Amino acid sequence: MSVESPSIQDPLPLDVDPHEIESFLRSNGWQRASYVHDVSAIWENVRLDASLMLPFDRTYRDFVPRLRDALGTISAVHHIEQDALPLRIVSSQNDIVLLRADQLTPYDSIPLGEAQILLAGISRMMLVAACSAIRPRPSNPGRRPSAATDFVANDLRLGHTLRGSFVLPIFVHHEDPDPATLDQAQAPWLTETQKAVSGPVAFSRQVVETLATGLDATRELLDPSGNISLDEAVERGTSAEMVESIGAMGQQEGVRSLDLSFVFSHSIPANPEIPSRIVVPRPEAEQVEKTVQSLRRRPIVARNEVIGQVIRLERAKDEEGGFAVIDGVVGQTRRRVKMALSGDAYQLAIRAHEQKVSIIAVGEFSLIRRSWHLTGDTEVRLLA
Amino acid sequence: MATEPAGPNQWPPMRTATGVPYGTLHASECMQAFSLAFTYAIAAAARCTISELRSDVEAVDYTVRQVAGHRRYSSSVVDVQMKCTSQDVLRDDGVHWRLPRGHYDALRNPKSYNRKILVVLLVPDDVTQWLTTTPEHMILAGSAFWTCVEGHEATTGSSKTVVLPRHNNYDVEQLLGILHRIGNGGRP
Repeated sequence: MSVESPSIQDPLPLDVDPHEIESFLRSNGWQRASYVHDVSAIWENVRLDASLMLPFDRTYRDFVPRLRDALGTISAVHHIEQDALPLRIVSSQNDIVLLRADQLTPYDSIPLGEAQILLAGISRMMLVAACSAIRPRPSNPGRRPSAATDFVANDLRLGHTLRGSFVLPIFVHHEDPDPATLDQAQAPWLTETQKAVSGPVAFSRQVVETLATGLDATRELLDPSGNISLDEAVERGTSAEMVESIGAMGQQEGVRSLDLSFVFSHSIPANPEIPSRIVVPRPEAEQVEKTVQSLRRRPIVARNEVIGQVIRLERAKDEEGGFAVIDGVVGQTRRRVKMALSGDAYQLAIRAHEQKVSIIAVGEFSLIRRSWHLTGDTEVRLLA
Repeated sequence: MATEPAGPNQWPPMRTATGVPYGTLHASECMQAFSLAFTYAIAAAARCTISELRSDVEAVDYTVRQVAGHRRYSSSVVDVQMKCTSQDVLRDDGVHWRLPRGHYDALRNPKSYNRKILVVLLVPDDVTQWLTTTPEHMILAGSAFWTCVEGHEATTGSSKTVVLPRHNNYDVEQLLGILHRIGNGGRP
């Protein structure tokens, strides 16, 4: 053995946040053995016979080499190439959307204007995907739901472009999932795939899934030989704004196709039916325009329905009504929603809860403080 | 040995007793290389590893680890900054070494994850006395002394002279003692 310890020739990425490294360690079977507040932590993985010291305080003289030591241990223990390490660490608590424009890059560059359009396009697509995740609509004129705008403002980050490429990585941050879960045996209205995902999915993940399925449907819509219907595309997350964004990005000079990949965080079980990569060939401008106009002409249905079972009732103080919590599906998405009921509607909810029968609840979806609500002109009826 | 005039940091051209010329490496670069040899010799004899080695004509910096594997964290590590000189800096109480203030402040700053020590290696003025080889031995001439100034008082001057005590010999046994004390949560 050499007296010289293996040294890292290429500097490891040092802009990885230590707290994100902790998320990665936790999700990979490590446990924190000791902690000095805001200074350092010792992490151990008994199964892999490994341990490391993670520094937190950047004012320490040797913070950088100690962080490098920790990353080096992670790289060696988990057999992760150094170049791949930042994404693997970030993906422990973030989904990552990778956008690449397939094109020639003379002098290792792309036009600045195109870079601006790519960034604007992906940002807009995330916003409309968030809108569609709340309630699928063919277009989103006017004011967008605050949950969607908040999501774009707070939960999205642009990472470093991958070395030697023009791949734009967008990080979608996930908060800790709702710990409440449903006994799958009592959810006969769920498909096998939906049962595989334990508990309602975090909104941030729903947005990424809607983006993926929406883009896949958009690709089919823009294919002259495609035969997907507009209604099906909308149900999967397409909207006029998404098609417009694809058109704007894809029609830049020299672009052959748009390539989007999805790296799903292990912190939330992945839905195997969601595509992990979509390649949209350079669209014809005429087809884009035609599709956008068709979507804009579709009527917007303000009300959506959820099909499922009443899992909880909360009586109001006046005892005339209360709140019902319904665990069910909206289109293809599992969702737990709360709605205020009174009178006959509340009595129906009580009966459905006692008899464990499915109901259909209709209303407008709103995301309020991380919880879904059905509001507006609501109704409930038994599922025939 | 030829006695031609030498420039700064230069030894005059030299030849062996049989007239074979020496190399032309400058004095400071010879000291740097000799420091590396000393470093590796001590570490190897102590069964320790060296990492993060950086060297220039001013100093050699490295980290000594007692635990060879990198999969397990060990607190038994020490950062070393090593200087080499042939100047007459050894006094009755130890080596007196002058550090520029910025350098002194970096060494005395306790806010570091690894403990750190300063080592000064004293070598003979005559390079031909640095190394003795026989069929039975290879002897590196020189002695090294160490100190830790973490937590020491600031200086108001532009430099600070630190003392590396005579009893602080940087050898295998003392290096292992340093690592042992650090591993137990103490100072070097």
